[in-house]
Formats: sequence, C-alpha cells, structure tokens
Amino acid sequence: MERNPARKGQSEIMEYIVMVVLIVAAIIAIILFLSWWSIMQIEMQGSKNQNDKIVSLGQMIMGDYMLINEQAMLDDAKLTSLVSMSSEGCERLQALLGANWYAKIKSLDMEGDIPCTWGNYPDCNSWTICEYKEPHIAQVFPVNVYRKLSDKAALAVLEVGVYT
Amino acid sequence: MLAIHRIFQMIFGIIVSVTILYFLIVYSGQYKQNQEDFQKALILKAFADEAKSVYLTGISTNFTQFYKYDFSSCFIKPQTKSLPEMQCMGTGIADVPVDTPLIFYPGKQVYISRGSLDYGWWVYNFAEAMPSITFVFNPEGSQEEKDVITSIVQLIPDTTDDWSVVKVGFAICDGGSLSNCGDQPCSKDDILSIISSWEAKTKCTASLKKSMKLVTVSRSCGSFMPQSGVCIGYPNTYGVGNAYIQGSGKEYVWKDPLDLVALSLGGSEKDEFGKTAGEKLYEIKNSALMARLSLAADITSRRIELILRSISPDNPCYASYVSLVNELSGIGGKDYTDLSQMDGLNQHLNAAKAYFQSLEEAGCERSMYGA
Amino acid sequence: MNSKKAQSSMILIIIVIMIFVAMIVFLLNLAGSVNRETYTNLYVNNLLLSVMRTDTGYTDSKCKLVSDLVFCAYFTPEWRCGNERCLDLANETLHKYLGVFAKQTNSSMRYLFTVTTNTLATNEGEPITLEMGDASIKTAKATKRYSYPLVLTKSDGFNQHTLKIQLVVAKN
Repeated sequence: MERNPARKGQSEIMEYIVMVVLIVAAIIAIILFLSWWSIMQIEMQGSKNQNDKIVSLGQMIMGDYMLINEQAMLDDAKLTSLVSMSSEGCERLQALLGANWYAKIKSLDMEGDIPCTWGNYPDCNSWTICEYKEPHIAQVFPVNVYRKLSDKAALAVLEVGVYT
Repeated sequence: MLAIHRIFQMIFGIIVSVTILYFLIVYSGQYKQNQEDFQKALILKAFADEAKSVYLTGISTNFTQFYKYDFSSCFIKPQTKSLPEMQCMGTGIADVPVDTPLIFYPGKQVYISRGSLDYGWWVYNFAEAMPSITFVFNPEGSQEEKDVITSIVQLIPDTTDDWSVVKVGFAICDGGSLSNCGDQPCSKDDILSIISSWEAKTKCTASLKKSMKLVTVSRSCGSFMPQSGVCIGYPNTYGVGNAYIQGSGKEYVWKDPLDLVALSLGGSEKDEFGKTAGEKLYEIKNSALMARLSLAADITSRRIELILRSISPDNPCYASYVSLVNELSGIGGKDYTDLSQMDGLNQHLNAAKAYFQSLEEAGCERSMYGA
Repeated sequence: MNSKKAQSSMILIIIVIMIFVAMIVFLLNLAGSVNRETYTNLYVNNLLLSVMRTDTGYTDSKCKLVSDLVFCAYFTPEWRCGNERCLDLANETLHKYLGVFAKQTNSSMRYLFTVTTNTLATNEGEPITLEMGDASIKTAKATKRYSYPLVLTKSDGFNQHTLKIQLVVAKN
C-alpha cells in the first residue's frame, strides 16, 4: 500500500518544526549560559579580591616605613604611637590603604594579651589598628616586633581582616 | 514543481533564520561591549596590582597589556578621604582605586620601577610607570642647573636591562639639533657622566617628537618660556624653587626632585578641560606624599616622646631626640601651597634629617639586628 | 527512510547538547578555587625569616638570635649556651617558638628546618645537612610547603661562614 503523500508532507513538516524548536532552545540556552558565566566571573573576582586585599594589606603593613624599622621589623614604639592616636590614626591610615579592614599584631614574648596604650608602654604586647568588627575574613602572617627600649626582636603574629 | 510542504519549509526556515540572526547580532553587540569594558577594567586592575607588586618588592617590570585598547586618557586623580582613583575620560570604565603611591604616564607599554625619597627618619617609597620617552635637556651650563638635572635623572628609571621593551633615554638639544649617544638616546649612566662637563647650548628650537619631553632649567624661567615642556627655576637656599609648564599660566612650587619628575614627565599636553598632564602628575604626587609625610611625622614624633619618657636627660641621645621631635612636630597639619610654606617645610625636613643622622652616628637609632 | 533520517537528526542534536553540557561542567571545574599560592608562599617565607631573627634571651654572640644558634649548631654543636649544648638548645628553641606560634594561630603543623653550606661536604662530596624538626615530613603524603632557601652569612672574626636554610611545613 502506498503512503499518503499528504501525510508524508505533514510528518516532514513536524520533524522540521521540532528540529527548529530544539535549535532555538539550544541557542537561548547558550545565551543564558554566557550571561550567567559573566555574572559568576564577577562574583569569583570579588571573592578573590577580598583575599588579595588581605594579602596586600599585610604586605603594605609589613613594608611601610611608618611602622617598620630599617631591618623591616615592626617597631613597637611606632605601633604604640599609632594606636594611641585612636580613631584618627585609623582614619588617616585607611585614607592611604583603603577602608573596611583591621589589623592586630601580637608579640609572643609575653604571656597573655595586653593591649598597648600610651600609659603602659613597653609592658604590653598587642596592638589593634582600626576596629575589630564582625563579620570579617582574616589571615595571619608571621612577623617580628622590634622592642625599641630593650633592643630585642620578638616573634609576633600579624592578623589582617577585611569586613564582609 | 515543488510540493507545497517544501515551499512551507523554505518560507518557515527563512523567517526563523532571520529572527534568530537578528537577536544573535543584537545580543552579540551588547555582549561585546560589556566584555570590552570588562576587559579594560581588568587590564587597569592588573596594572594597579603590578604597580603595587613593584612598590612592595622593588623589582622593576614591563606592563604591556595597554596596547589592546586606548588608555591614553587615563590618569590617577586624588580623592578627599578615600583612595586615589584611576580615571579614563570618555570611556565607560569604572574608576579603579589605587592604593600605591604611583606616578603614572600612559603608553602602549610602560616600565614600572620603584624610587624613594630618603628623609633620614623616614623613607618615602613610590612607584613610577612610564612608556618609552626621551627627556631632552637644553643646558645653560651653570652648577645649579647641573645639580637640579642630576637630581631629576637619578629618580628616572634605568631601562638598560635586556629584558625591557620600554626604553627611557636622554638627549641634549642645541638650537635646532638633538644630540644622542651614538645613534640612540643616552642611558641614565651616560647622561650622568655627560652632565658634569657639559656647557651652555643655544635655546632649543628643534622639532620634538611626541615621545620627547623638553626639560629646561634656567634662572630666567619667569620671564621666558621654552617652546614646549617645563621650565624649572633654580632652587633657593632651602632647596625650593618655581616651575612653569608651557601653555599653562600657573606657577608650581617644587621642593624635591620628584616634583620635577612629575612635571617633566607629564609635560604640557592638555586634556579636553585644558589641564596639563604635568599638573595632574604634580597633584597626585603631592597628595600621596603629603598625606604620608604628615602621618609619618606624627607617628615618629610620638614615638620619640615614648622613648624620651624612658631615658634620662643625661643620656647622650636625649638632646638630639628633643631637637628632632621639635622639628617633626612642625611638619604635619598644614596645606603646603606657596613658596614661603614650602621654605618652612624644607627647613624642618632638612633639620630633622640632620638630627636623625646624629642619632644614628651616636648609636641611638641604629639597630644591630640583621638576618 | 524518512523516519530514520529524522531519528538521526534527533540523535545529532542530542549529541550536540551533551557536548555542550560537558563543556559547561569542564568550565565550572576550571573556575574552581581561589588562588592561595601567594598567601602560602608569603606565610612560609615570613615564618622562616621571622623565626631566624628572633632573640633567644641569651647574650653570648653565638646564642643571641635563633640564626646564631643555628650557626652554632651546625659548625660548633658542642658549644655551650648557658648550660646547654647549642645543638640541643637550637632544637628546643625552634620547637618552642613554632609551638607558641601554632598555638597562637590555632593551627597545628609539622616543620623541618634543613641547613646546608657550600664549604662542608662528606667524603662523597655531598653537602653536610643538619636537620631540625620532624624528619618524617620528607616522606609524608601530606601537602607540604617549601620556603625559598634563606642564605645567612656570619663572620667569627677570622672566617666568613654561609648557611642555606630551608623550612618545610605540613599541616597535621
């Protein structure tokens, strides 16, 4: 029995339409994927930027002659001077290095955590530059703190955090 | 004779294809523009990161990604109470914050290096980025001029490394002709050895390429201007002088060689608002330096007060510390804009450097540490 | 014949979509984690340098800094710092400082310092190596981080000695 030519034509048209619909769907899917990919790249860049910011802040603090001596060690008298300027010191430093971060330095040559002030220097071992706030992400760096009055270098921890 | 369903297929196919193509082209156009702006912002961010790396490590490098797009309108603009920003006029790129003290002059490929100004009690490090440029001098032959030019050349990077594609050189202009070293612009070492023995030349009238910056040092800058570039007046006893940019009616006060490098590098090229590149570099240089100098002076003077509290007045270091803290406390909190203020600033800085040197010599400030 | 042609077209489209999905999965994996290499390198190198520059509390020039102790331990291990041999004191001091550091940073790590010089070698020509710390790190399967070698030079008045010190750390 011969197939009806009209039915043959109809089925070919249906196949054709289904194929076109699938191709259009594939193209739309590609367009949506590319848009989503661009957004994801920006978000990933943001997260990478925060970690990069912490590392570069750490390097800036460890390398700035406002805070270190000629041997590239953090000077305890300079740190005490900065923290004793209270929020003014933080604001001026943030105008140079960017905002929304804090740094905490703790020298390991003393037990406990004794924040340094103008009054108790040099019998103290920690300095907090700018306010420690939650939420934040932070990293730690090994550093030396040079004790100016006793002319000794102590092992210390520098913690740098950025607010999220 | 075509079957009807074949005709339908053809017509339907054409309609669908045209529709799809139309949306694809429109979307691609937008996507391309978004991606281009995104790429430009990434390049600027990569440059800012590279400059920071050079600033932290002191290791010079070339940055060659600027060739991909036009960044000639980009410059760093100081902001009040926030980080300076890299702005590119007439483009859709968002401003990129720059937290490194940076003197930047755009080009397709730039050489990034680190320099420093040594104040004794503090060192100001900065990064400088410039494309292949030839600094052209028009000697007057006097000793003051030689000293000023030597101080400028010492802050310009030495690009003789084989790996560098960017070459910064020097030449001498005598009337209508330019002298190089052989057939190439002179290197930093070459020009430093030439400066000490050069003699006066006639006023420069040579035709200079866009990549050449004419730097004239003269005692008569106020009354005449060279054909292009900057004219730098001789310094007074405090090391302060005036400078002028060709085509700009303003007088700039310079107090250190970095002011002169900024003015010379930027030169007299104007933007669409009539502001010279030299003035923009001068502004960003002083904005970055003065903020840091002021904070460093305050921290150092408080540090000395802490030390003085713990040592007796009989201590041999005591008197020098007191003198130093008196000089440093005279520095911060002022807006230095005119010649007399700069004279005062340089007086304090020169005296502070001398007192700190005496503290180093006496062993009061010299640490014996090293690893 | 036509149904077979249609079926093969469908299969072709499905294959294209599968390739497309595989590409997405591959790209997602590539995008993966943030690069921590810079931070880790900085951490390990800073740790080595900072520990070496730290004061020990002794005033004898052979024992004053941790780096002095390392020189002493390598070249004159029997020298006495106070009542102790400097080789023993070097090991104790490194252990103490790294322990305090690990406690402060709420981390636990194993470490190994390897010390060599160009001027002393075995009969076979191999440089003499002094190891201080946990030697099992060398063969451990844990992720290890190596510092760049730190070159230190010290003069004892007559001779100049150079040591190359490297730190390896591994998280527990």
